[in-house]
Amino acid sequence: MIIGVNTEVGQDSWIALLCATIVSIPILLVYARIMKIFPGTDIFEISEKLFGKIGGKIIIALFTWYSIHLGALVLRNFSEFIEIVAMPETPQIPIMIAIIFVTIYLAKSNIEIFGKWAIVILPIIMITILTTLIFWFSIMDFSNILPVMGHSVQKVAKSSFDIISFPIAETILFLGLASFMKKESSPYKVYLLGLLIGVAILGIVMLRNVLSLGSAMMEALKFSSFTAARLINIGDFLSRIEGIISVNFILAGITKITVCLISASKGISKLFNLENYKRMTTPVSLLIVALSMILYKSTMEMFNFLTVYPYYAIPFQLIIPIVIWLTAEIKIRKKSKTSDSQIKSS
Amino acid sequence: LDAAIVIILYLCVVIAEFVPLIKEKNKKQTWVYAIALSISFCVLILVGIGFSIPGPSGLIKTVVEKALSFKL
Repeated sequence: MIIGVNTEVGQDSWIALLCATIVSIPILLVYARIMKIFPGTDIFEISEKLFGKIGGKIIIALFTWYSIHLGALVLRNFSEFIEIVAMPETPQIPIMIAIIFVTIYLAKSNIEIFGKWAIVILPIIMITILTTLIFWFSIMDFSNILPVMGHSVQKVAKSSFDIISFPIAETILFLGLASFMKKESSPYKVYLLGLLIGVAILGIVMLRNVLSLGSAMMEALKFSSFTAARLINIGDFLSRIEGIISVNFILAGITKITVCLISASKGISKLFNLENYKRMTTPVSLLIVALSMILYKSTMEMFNFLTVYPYYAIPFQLIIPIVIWLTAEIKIRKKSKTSDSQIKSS
Repeated sequence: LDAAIVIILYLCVVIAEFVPLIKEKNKKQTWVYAIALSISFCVLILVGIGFSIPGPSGLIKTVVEKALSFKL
């Protein structure tokens, strides 16, 4: 939400987003299939079931690390954003603590409360985006979207790859929360509908920014949505509405960090065979704060890490889920074959 | 100021959560909780004082570049 999706290809961002959506469908179907094979079970329990104690613990440790690290990355994005645009004199630790307190509250509440929170903030985010879209209409220049495919195919493909890893395939974290899902509900529907809504929001934001800022400005700016909001000035009466965009960022960011926190707490609990994951939310959240404080030395380092992140995320977003899925399918087939042969012999 | 905020925060956490956890006499949970709390406290207090602690981003970048065998 803060950094936005990859904007390196400027006016061709929408093509990159479209390609990323198409390519990410099979990836999300793999995640959904894992949920379908093991209904009411999260990735931590699945790993132990499939790979035994030692193999399972290794996968749990890797996935827990990814949850903590992603939580720290998102938290740092937010604290940097708040420091740059609103509170340049305020140190980052109090900002992070303020954000993390809300996420601890959400993580410690029942999952239904967190679900209700998500249901409440989604319309707020949608209404805000649509409102700003209406305000932006007067400053939109539709020639900004031309020339179509002004960037090379390789560049657009690289941009699509970046969009898949950040943010689409980050939905792998929901496998850590899969035990909360009702057994009768369809994970395919959840993932594909989520993808549709997410891509629609990202697409609208991306087009709005390209049309109002132009591709050169969009490529140069780090917080393009926020900067674009500053351009709105309706009859010298309605201006400085970038605050609305900040509210959007914070609401969505809190939700994402909470997902990371719940997943990481469940992972730590499973790793050490603890009964109650909610007990671990506070120390894990403080680990996230500590990690986010030492992640980067400067804001530029944070943006530079975005070039590394898509490759770094491949094992967590692709390799581990595919290994889990294939192992599960093989085990299911073996089981059904042995039960068939038992029936035939009897 | 950062260090003071961190100390106050951890005092609150210890009083509100850690002491009741010790009273529950769940040894394993208490140990994991204490270790996680101590690690984060040490890091945050050092950062608060002004120490520069190396983060994992540099290491991750090096590993990724070695795996891909090109500079990012």
